Amino acid sequence: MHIDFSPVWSRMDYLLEGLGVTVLVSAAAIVLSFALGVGLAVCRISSLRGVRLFAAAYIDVFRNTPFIVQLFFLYFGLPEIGVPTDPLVTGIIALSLTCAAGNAEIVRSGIETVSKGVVDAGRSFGLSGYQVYRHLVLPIALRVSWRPLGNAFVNLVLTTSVLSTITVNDLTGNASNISAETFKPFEVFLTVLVIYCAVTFAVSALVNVIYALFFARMAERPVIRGQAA
Amino acid sequence: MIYQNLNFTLDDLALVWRGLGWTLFVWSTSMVLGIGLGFVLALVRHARVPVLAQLVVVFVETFRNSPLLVQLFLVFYGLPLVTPFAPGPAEAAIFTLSVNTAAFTVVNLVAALDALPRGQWQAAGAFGLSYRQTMMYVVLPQAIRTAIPPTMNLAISQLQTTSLVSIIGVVDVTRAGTMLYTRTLKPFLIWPVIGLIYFILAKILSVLAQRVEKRLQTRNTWFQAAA
Repeated sequence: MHIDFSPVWSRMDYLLEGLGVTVLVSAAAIVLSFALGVGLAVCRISSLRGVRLFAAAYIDVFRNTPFIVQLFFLYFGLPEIGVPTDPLVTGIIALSLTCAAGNAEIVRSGIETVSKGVVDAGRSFGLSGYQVYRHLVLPIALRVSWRPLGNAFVNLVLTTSVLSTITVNDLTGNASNISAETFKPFEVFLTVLVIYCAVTFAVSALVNVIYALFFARMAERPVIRGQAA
Repeated sequence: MIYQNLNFTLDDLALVWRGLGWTLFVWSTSMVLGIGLGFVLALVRHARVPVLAQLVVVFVETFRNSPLLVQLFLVFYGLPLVTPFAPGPAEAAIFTLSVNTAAFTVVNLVAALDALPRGQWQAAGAFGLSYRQTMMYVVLPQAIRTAIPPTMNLAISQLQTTSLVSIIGVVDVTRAGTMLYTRTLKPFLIWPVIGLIYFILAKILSVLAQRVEKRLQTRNTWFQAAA
């Protein structure tokens, strides 16, 4: 038993390079999956039957198949029908598509907590369906679902490690390279474990800050800025 | 001349079938071990055993906040070099998944234990029950009932997660898919089929889970009426 971290320290810059990729991929996928998730949630409870069924099927398929299978399908399968793939881009797209399904379920349950009275009140003030959603329903729903969404974002960050299997040079990918190079897998992966913990704590903290900034002081019944006193 | 077998044979079906067996074996074993371990750790955490309880918190936070893939690599590649243990792919997979599941189970169970009103403890204390007795006869029967639905959801989602063990060489369904893909080069056909297998498994499990949940609800009514 001989534990020696010095080979890891000497290659820290390479690891941090991988961390940069992980952070980039996570940030892009979080933004995309959030937007897509909200869209899907709205579709999921749309009054149009076709839209509703599509969203339901999408969520069902993406939530009940492993991410790695979806990733391999997109990365290896798409070139077969003539769509070129790039590890980084395909990785971000696959992550966004998968996590959007989970986010959609969270946002949907948030929307369902909004009482019908809010919608009726909005309609009786002459707001269009879009305006009711944009200014009344979504703010309340997002406030309720923000913390579960934060957990989903943390999960997303952890899932980025799977992208190393399609040769993305993220934290896990670079760690595998270093471990093969130095033959110190225990030290390398332990370091990476700690780095991932730090990243996810940072994400949780960021989620809390955003909650404090945008949602904590939000009134139970939000006013439309510039239109109400 | 390069020999290539690009067509599917009956043996491929057998490969996927064996892979399915491994997926289910790794999944079920690690769920049983993980939930069992998580149960013990949650009790330690809830009893606030000095030092141990803090260690449980550190353990839980570490394993919930790091990727399963890195944990698998740490156990499979790292352990043999620093400890006398050299787990094979399946052992490393089951060990890591169990520990990972335990971390999530602790959170579910501690939440369920904390959700119980303090009055239950006070009432049990007034009846002269010890901590152990209160736990055994009053608190746990109720807390476990609360914790069953989230734990079942966890188990269902861990089924998808077991696909990661293919990366360290367990020949599960995903690994079978990779092997077929590298031989036949038909990813557009293979991956949807593999995905469908997981999809069907997950659907079967969630139907079972719903049944259990329904039974729990009907049985729970007496408690709701009393409370």
